[in-house]
Amino acid sequence: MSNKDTLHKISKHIVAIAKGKCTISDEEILAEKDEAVRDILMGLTYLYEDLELGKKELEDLNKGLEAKVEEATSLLQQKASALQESEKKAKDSEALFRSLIENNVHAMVLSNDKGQITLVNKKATTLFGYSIEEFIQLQIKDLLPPTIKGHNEKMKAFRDKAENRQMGGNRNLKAKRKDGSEFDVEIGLNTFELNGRKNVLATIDDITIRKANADALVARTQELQQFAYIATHDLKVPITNIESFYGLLKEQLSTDDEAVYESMQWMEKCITQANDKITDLITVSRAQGLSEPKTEHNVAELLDELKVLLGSEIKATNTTFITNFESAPFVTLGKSAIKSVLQNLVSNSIKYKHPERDPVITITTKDEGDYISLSVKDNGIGVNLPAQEEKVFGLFQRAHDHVEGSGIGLYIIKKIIADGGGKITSSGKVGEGAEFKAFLLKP
Amino acid sequence: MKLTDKKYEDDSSAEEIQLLKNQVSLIADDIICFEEIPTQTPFSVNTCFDEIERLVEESGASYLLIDLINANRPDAVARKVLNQRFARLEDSIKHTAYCTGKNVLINTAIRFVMFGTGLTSYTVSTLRKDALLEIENVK
Repeated sequence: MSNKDTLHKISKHIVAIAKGKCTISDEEILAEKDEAVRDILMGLTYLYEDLELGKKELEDLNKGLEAKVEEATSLLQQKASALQESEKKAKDSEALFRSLIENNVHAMVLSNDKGQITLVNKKATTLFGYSIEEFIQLQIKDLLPPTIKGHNEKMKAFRDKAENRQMGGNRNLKAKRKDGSEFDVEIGLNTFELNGRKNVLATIDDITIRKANADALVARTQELQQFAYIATHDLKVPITNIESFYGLLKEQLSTDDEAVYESMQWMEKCITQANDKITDLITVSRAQGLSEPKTEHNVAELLDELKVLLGSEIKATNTTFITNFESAPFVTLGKSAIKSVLQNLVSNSIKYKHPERDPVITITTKDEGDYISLSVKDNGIGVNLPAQEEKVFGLFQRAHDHVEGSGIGLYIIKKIIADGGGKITSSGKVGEGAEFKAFLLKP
Repeated sequence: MKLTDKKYEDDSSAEEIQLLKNQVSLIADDIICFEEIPTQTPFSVNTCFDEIERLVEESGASYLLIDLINANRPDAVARKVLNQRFARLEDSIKHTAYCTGKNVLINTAIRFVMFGTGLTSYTVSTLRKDALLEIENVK
């Protein structure tokens, strides 16, 4: 084959390869005598094969790429819609939060961990006299009167503790308006975290009117207590007079007439009842008007005095005492008040003794945080407590009728203890005994 | 069991894989012999070349005798893998001696496979003994 023919053959194969087809066979390569031409033919075959492989790899790569793009697009779409959803939720939550604050009947002030005010509602602007724009330039301390010291430290401690609480209800807490005037407030504090920072939402109520009403009510109650005390004393005099005149009348009248005798008996009974009732009322009104100063008392000494006072009853009933005042030997209350409390509780334990056993009264004291508890426990007939608590502590109410009593003792001591900032609890079972525990506020 | 001219892919049995590995052996302290199977696939090439690399690592052999007497010319896919695996031996193989019998097509194919691998020292002989002589000449 001439060179021209060879070149023509090779160029034909190249054109075929360019058109995407290989026309060179292994037989043709093997038949070729010239090594260089053989190499060219083999090279063209490999070129074609490599091109085909490259094409296939490219197609596969494209497919993979398309799949990846599709997957990435789908993932992006999912993320975008999740983001939209969470943005919508966040917006809805924020709108709800703002609406709750805006439309709240209480003044609300939101502050960050630096005490900077970040959000207020309309009620707050009305209450304090600042505009919203002015408010967000202020700190919480700007809303407090200058007399309040250490606010920043207290607020930091509160935020760190993160405990929601109410303040101002029972003490004089005041806030300051823009014009400098002060007013009584009750504040509810709620902490919450936002973006890793502690925020405080304060709900503020102007309690000026409520406080004035409460003060007026206290004054009115005191007046009424005074009136009751005077009235009962005033009633005592005519009753005593009636009793005296009745005595004279009884001596002067003949008691032979059975009808007269019966009427006299009834009259005497009524006079006694009225007298007892008025005596009880005087006791109650005296207890309510009791305003003696609080002092510290040794419980063991108080009990010793009481044992002397109740000596005959203790002896007659063979009552024994078990005591333990080691952890809290002293209690704080008015002198008459604490004596009254102890006497009433011990008298009741003796009075309501079990018919089949001698009274054993256990008296103990214990330190219980803000209080010292004074417990009087007996082995008497017992009461179903606390189910019958209302009856036991009610005025002129009695849980047992077989023993004489007016039903004012426990009412009075409950009142005395409550007036001193304490409380009394009861427990017990019928047939087993009762325990009364007075929690007396520490000084 | 003997290897045939079928395509050995990654679903080959353990016995077949072992037979593929047996195509590679150390025939002298520093000469590894690889008897290529008739039809090469990426799997067969990788299995045999893993074995070559293992022996190179273990024995320090630096001469390669490749017997292509029964081998057909590799297709583009096998050629690409061969090219890559030869390139990995560039630093450890000093000379590669091929024996191809009368397989003219393979003679030409060798040049294309070895092109660009970095293994520039290679000879092509008809018989295995001549290929061994070539290695001795190079040493």
